[in-house]
Amino acid sequence: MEAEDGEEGFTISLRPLELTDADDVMGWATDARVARFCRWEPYASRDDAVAFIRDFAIPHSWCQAICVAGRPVGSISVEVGEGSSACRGEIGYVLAHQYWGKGIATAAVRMAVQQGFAAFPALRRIEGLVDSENFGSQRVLEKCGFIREGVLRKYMLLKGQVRDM
Amino acid sequence: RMAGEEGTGELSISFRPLEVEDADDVMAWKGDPRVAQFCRWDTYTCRDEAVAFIQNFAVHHEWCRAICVAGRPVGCISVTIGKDEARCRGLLKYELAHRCWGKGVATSAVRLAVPAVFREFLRLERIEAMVIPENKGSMRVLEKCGFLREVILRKYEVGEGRLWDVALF
Repeated sequence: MEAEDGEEGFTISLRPLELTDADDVMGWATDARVARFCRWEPYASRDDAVAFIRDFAIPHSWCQAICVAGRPVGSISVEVGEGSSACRGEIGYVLAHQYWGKGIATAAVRMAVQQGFAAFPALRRIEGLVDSENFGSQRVLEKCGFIREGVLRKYMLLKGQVRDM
Repeated sequence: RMAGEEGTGELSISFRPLEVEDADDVMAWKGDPRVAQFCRWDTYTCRDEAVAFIQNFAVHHEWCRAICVAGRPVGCISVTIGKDEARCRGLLKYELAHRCWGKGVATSAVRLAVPAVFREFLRLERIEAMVIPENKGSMRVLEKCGFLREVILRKYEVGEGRLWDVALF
């Protein structure tokens, strides 16, 4: 478990999610501001958080809680492909709104990239798909050394709207 | 309403579904390493592979057509629609016998296919194609058909012992 110091003296660490984190997951997943650019709607009940941890986070080949002072305030994952896609992984992350703008996502992405390349020896490329209007997240990736390769027009159907990514 | 014809001044083409009986014609391009070179599949070495391709991919595919010249299959073209949040986009693929290269056949096929697919799949907003940048001929086909090259995706795929960049149109 690595830790990084963010701005304002936060200690940021990554660790696997556990079912006991469900209440902390609700802390960000019920927030429409957080869910805005995500594929999912804000969670309505704790069951949604349990299902996320049980059905997505735990079986995932690389998914971690983003922790501040040991407490989950978001999550981050790297989804690695198979076969001809085994060389690439897609990063995704979500963070509680009160922790935005403090370098926490940046620290988490940095750690995830390092750990992802270490965990998957065939990995040669990590990519992130960001909504063209999600400027905060674009900034996070740029600060971590990601290169903006291009804009993919009308790429995804998100909550009934076709989005550029 | 699947057949369409378009001439290039050199060869006029038509579309129809692939059938198991086309296996020998399919082998003419699937068995050719010059064609396989820029594709994600290995050169076919026996007719059974062509039969399997027709039965397992072409016949059940949501949009797959034989590219025919004088009624005979010389290649095939398909658009695969995405799932879930990707259902607004379709991935265009095409492959063509080497003897038909450089005659506008692929360009005609793509020009015929794109509007047909947009008409058939009303939710579709985007058709994209992935090409290996060394495949200049195919990049030229897409450009001639009005595709815009959006990005080169670095180290996007792995195969045959190396990493491949992919141009996304």
